[in-house]
Amino acid sequence: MQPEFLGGMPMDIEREFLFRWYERQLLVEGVTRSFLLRLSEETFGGLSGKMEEMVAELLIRSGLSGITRDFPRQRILPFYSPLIYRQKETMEFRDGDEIRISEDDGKKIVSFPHTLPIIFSPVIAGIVFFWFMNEVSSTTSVKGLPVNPEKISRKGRVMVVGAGGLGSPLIKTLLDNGIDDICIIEPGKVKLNNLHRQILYDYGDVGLSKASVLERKLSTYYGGVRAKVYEREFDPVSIKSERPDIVVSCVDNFETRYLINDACYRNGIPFVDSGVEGSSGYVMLRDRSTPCYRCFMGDNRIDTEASRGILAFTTYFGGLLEAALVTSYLNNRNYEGKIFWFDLKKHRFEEITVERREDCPVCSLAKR
Amino acid sequence: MFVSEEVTLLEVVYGDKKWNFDRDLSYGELIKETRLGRVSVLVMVNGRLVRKEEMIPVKSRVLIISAANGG
Repeated sequence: MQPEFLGGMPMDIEREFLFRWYERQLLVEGVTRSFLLRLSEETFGGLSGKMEEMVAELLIRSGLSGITRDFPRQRILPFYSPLIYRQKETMEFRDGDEIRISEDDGKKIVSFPHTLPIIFSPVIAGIVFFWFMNEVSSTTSVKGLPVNPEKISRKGRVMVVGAGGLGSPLIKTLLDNGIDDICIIEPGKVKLNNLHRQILYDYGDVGLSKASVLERKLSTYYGGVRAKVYEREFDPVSIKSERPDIVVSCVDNFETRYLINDACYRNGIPFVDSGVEGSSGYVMLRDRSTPCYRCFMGDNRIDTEASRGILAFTTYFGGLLEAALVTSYLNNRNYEGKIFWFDLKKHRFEEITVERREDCPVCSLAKR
Repeated sequence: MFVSEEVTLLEVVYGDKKWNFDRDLSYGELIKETRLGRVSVLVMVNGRLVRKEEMIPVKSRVLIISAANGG
């Protein structure tokens, strides 16, 4: 069956458009054009509750293109994509004790405990995605996660560097959880191949600067928030001029991470960082009491020009975990300094111990 | 979770790939044996990040992860 998209383009042009839209996803091992076309035929119907809506959104951002007339598109994906099409329902959510995918009369049934917090939505989306790829079994037990976003009891000023795949869910989650003073630094423009994972931007924003889009959306949807958005690269001086309580690194290169790490350690500002690729990534909170980013990553990593594959639910999970560490810090929760690593394809979650390097040029010299 | 049952070999996991070795390996030997010399990775032994100068003893669980820098 061939999907009939609502954009009204000829089929061959729509296919090329689809492949450009999912360009970064197609760089992930095992994600092929034929797999994407097969996925695009799957269709959601009516949804019940925020968790189902979030899992459905992440799966649509991963390539499922079908919705029925019952699907609450205007609430979930108001301006996201012209690739969405209408068709008979092929997928349905149900409540269950474990995460399970089964087939009933030709329809895929995705069951999961509906009491799970929203941070599990990318975990469930990943399991469904890799089930379609025949890479995971149909039943997965639920494993606990070390952190969970919560309402913020102590207000603070948050600086976010980068508003892309990680920054989008992070910013939205922090604002929804009570942050009302935020400073965002983002130099880029919205590109078509950003849209599948960068949830703050829509099809109509392509070509615009991300900073201008963010300013407009923050004033529209979060009018009471004190927000500054800068269209520029990160400059270490901004740590002193903006005086944040915490910095969040949501960037896509080693060079800026080293700059953020060094500036934060030297000024005694804690920071949260995540790095993602394919279906996996890490997240960590660093301050002067913990070994720094250089102790974890080494200090001679060099960025290359080549784009790496990335999946929508991976960056979403990384952003949610970063938000959880920010809220945990602002709410004065204890943090052991371990680094959390995940692989949503293998459903593997690890805590990593990192020791301070005696020869570290940054944290071994910073005042503790 | 990754660290649980007792192991008798040096068990190595990287994504979908798995290896077993019956001897201690240096960091360099591990990277050579797994042919990951051209990939940017980090090496965890029993949940602890190890440095390039360290030996990795047999009866260890090794997790190799990408040095991810995407966002």
